[in-house]
Amino acid sequence: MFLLKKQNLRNFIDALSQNEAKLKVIVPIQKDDGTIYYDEYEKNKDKEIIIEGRTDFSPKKYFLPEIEEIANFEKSENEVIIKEVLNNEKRIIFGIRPCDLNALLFLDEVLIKYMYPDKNYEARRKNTILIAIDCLEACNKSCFCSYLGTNIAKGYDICLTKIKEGFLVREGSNIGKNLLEKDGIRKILEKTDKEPKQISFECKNKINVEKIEELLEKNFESKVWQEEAERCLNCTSCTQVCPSCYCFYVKDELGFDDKKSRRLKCLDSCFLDRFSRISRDFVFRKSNKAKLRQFVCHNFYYSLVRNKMIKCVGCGRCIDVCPVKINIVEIIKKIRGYDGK
Amino acid sequence: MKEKLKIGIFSFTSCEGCELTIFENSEEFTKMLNYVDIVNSRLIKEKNPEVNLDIAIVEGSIMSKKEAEELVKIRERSKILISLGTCAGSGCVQALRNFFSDRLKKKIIKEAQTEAFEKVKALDEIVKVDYYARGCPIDADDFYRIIKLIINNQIPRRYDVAVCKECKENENSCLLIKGIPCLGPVAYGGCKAICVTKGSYCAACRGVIRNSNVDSLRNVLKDRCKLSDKEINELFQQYNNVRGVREIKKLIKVKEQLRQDLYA
Repeated sequence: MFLLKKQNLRNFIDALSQNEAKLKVIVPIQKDDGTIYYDEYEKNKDKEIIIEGRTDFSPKKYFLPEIEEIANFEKSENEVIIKEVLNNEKRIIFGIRPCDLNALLFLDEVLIKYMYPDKNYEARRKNTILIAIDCLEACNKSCFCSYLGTNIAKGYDICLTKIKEGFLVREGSNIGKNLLEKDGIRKILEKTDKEPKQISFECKNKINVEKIEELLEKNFESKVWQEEAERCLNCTSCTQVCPSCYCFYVKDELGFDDKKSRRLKCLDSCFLDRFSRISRDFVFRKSNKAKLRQFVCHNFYYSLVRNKMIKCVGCGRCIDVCPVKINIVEIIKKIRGYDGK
Repeated sequence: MKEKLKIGIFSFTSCEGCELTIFENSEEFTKMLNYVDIVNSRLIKEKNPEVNLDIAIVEGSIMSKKEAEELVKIRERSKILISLGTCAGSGCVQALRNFFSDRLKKKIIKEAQTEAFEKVKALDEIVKVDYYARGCPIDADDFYRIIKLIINNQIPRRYDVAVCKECKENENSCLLIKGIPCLGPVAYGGCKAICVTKGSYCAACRGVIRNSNVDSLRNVLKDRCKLSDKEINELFQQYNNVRGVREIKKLIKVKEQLRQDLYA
């Protein structure tokens, strides 16, 4: 266990960015309009690094970019040459919160362990060093991570816990251990015997996930879906900010000359018609009711059956970002209220 | 090598900014010239013969019977018709006239524009439009996407994704939640949410998505932004003037009526 003094936080990040491998350091910072998001440290040296509270956008974009080239193809005289595009970006993400770490663990389950591994995602996961910050209390009124067990950091390389004097630093993997032993970084840290306190807080937004898969299966035709979905705008904001939403579609982007055509993997949203469009123009999940039900059931029911994990990590971003105040926790509560009636 | 496609670019009542956007992206434009012949364009060509076309690209809204007749002629001699920009798609600023008082309308139409329609019309109120390149002005990437698909014998799909998706891609915080009016949730995307990203609001210049939940957005504008019904209408009218919002069904009738009028 090491101690990082408060005034040395910036030196620590500077030391991280001066690594031999020239890994880019990603930190949470604030835009002028107040949005907290992740960006490169080099480009934003003058900005304050936000270490408290939830970020408005998760660092999902560094693992699942909005648009990514997975292959390109060229037409020569009698054949088509297809080239796979593999990714080898390397990064350090500083300040990732426990909810987003848990979302990554869920994505690993789906995109690496379940059936067909996503090569690019796997490479990015392997090439990214994660430096987490523990949450010591509920960060806002809409998060409900403590009821899902996602308030505790898992799968990090290094983890920081805030205390009075600064931060307690502990390693979570060999990569993290090696990083902390490097000269430039070791200099800034002090050895200490202190241990971080057990994390135990309760969020204000209560959710009961006991036997939730049975509840949702039983209430598939509940009237709650229609009541809540009536005002949905299909704006896709909720799926965009969700740290564990991974649905995508694949399209071919053609060039003017048969050369340089690209196959792109783009993030999709279950709130769009195109998500369930088949046979050119038949949309099998057209109503708002069915779309919202898909979103909620994927979070709490399908993922549990298929991947043995609840997809939702309880960050509450989808609640805060919804212009029409659709609240995933309220929906579950309402269904429980109506259950059996 | 395949035979080159014949393209005509036509302008009705508009600023011709969209046409300029096509030429502005010189890299894509020169590549496109390997596959198409531009046979008709008032902006870049001296001679503009009336020949049969593979693709007619039409910008501008229809103000008068003369323009409407010309548009019908263009439609008759082209295989595909692409509506270019907001003027052609939903009226844009010149169609703000549709909401003038009757007295003012009468004065303008009777005394100044004797040939003019009482209401400014979009292209699809008069002829069949195959594909739409939307925006005021259009997004060049969006336009070339459509052209590339047509050249490669594919069918361009309607991009019915709200501006919000791209807005969240750019990691903006939601204006509606802050209480600032924005039409992003019901507006056609494809513009890379440029207005909101640069610190403005979305005025739905690309049109209102078919079957989108406009009623719900009206409630949000009332509750969160404290707008009156009249103000909400004004907001929608800035770019979407020809059909109010959601009058597609009525529109088909109008189209047929007008076609009959023209051929009578």
